[in-house]
Amino acid sequence: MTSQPCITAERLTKCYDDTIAVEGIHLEVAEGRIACLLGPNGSGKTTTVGMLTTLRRPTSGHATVCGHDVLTESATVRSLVGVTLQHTGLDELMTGREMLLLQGTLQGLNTTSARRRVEELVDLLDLETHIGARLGTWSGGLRRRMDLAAALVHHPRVLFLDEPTTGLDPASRRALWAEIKRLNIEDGVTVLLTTQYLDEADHLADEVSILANGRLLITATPEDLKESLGERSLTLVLTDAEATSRAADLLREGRAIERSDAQTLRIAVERDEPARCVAELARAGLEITAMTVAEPSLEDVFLQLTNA
Amino acid sequence: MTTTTATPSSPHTLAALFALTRRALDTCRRTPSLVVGPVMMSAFFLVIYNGQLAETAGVIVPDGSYVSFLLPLVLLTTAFSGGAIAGQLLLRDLDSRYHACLALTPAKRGVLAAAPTLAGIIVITAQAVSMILLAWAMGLDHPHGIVGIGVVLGLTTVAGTGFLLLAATAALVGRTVAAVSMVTYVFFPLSFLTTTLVPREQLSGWMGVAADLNPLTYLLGGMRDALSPGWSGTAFVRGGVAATLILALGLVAVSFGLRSSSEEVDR
Repeated sequence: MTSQPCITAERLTKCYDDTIAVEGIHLEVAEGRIACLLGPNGSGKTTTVGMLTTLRRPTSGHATVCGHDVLTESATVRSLVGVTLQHTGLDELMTGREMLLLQGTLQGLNTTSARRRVEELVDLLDLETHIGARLGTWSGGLRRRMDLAAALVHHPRVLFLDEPTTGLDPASRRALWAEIKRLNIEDGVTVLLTTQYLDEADHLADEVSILANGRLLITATPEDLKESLGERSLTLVLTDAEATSRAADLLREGRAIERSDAQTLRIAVERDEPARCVAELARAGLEITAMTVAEPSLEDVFLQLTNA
Repeated sequence: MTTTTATPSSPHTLAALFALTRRALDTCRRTPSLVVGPVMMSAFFLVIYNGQLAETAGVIVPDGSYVSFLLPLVLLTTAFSGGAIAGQLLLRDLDSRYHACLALTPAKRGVLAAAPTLAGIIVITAQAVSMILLAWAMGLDHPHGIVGIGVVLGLTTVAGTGFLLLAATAALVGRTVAAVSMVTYVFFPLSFLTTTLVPREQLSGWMGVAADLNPLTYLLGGMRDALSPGWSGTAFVRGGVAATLILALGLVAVSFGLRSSSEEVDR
């Protein structure tokens, strides 16, 4: 079954004076998917999210969310999306409960529905012990959870998360990942998240779009991206330095070899080559004491595509 | 767990305005410096000016108390210093990026600026009432009773609203404390280039010309007239026109500010 596109962008461009922040981005995210915008600082991730969530006006191009134009139907788009921005925007003088109730009212919930929904979110995101305290006293991890709660108060169909785990400790990161997965699987929420963390994209995303210098370089599943790289990393540990040097000479032709230490070689090999390399060394009478073959990581793909 | 499935819709503008205004008033309550400073400054002016000049008041305002003459000036000072409150509230949200969080809701952008302005009007009115009560305790004449006091309060609020809107515009466009403060700095000299301490007929030379060109002169004239025994319709109309001009200036400015800020909410 093919899902309807939930988020679309065609030739989306944003310029600030003479600077092109985002140039001609094409994007299509199907309903119920988790898509990830991956890129280094200044690659245009936040600007793209800003345009898709109606916070920034595109210089040119066209974008829709759930079939609604972000420029001409901006209020409708805002009622359908939940957004957490890169820098958490909370009113430090309000309590958590006051802020969620206000968000509910502004999203069109009546008082009874807003109160009920706030209690659900407090329960869901484990905010019970802090919800009555002013937000100025909350820790960074709690603020992130509060930010997510505010984004979820109106049952959004689409969730935009701009670097949601930046600055979180590993446990809080994992907890947030689990919640994002749960929202996607149980509630069918479509998610577009931006991140600099490759493991985050690898863990969460059904598809990854890599941005650099405001341009979209590629969109594919994490598996396809790794597959496209082709190369694996073969690590061999030999008996001594002399054997290691001989092995390096034997395997050097057509391959990138890095000597990690006196007895260890790291070799970039094609998918079917590890066995051939081992056989070649055996024929030369060289003994291998340890060997690992590593699949390419999303990091390898990212580094290659962004020329980092 | 079971979750509610209430479907959100666009919020009713009045419901959004009420909720946001209540929040702005809560912020004022939790930040006393926003409210107390202007009141203290105005009370200080009223007490000190009256204490130093009341003895010679017989010459300056032979047919009334000097407190009645000073009160309009003190009320305008309250409105202009307290009027920055809308700008300060907006600036606070812009600085903390909470404004972007609010702008991501379907609430109209105009409502986001109207709420702190409405809260500012309530605060200014409360401040003006407290100044009137202080003046009353110091011997304020009110020959026209509640109607005269109502006119003074009304003109203060209309002019104050214009100032609130100008301060809100400065916050939306300039996004700095300096930009909001600049609006106060513009009005501060205007409050002295007028009939600050003496009536118009006692000003001469360049001071008299400056006072004639200054809209605050007519605003003060209208307010003082409402506190004087003989009520002239002309002074009231001139005062009303001056207050309306300040309000209109504020409305034009804020509509420009909203257009500018809706281009880029999360700069």
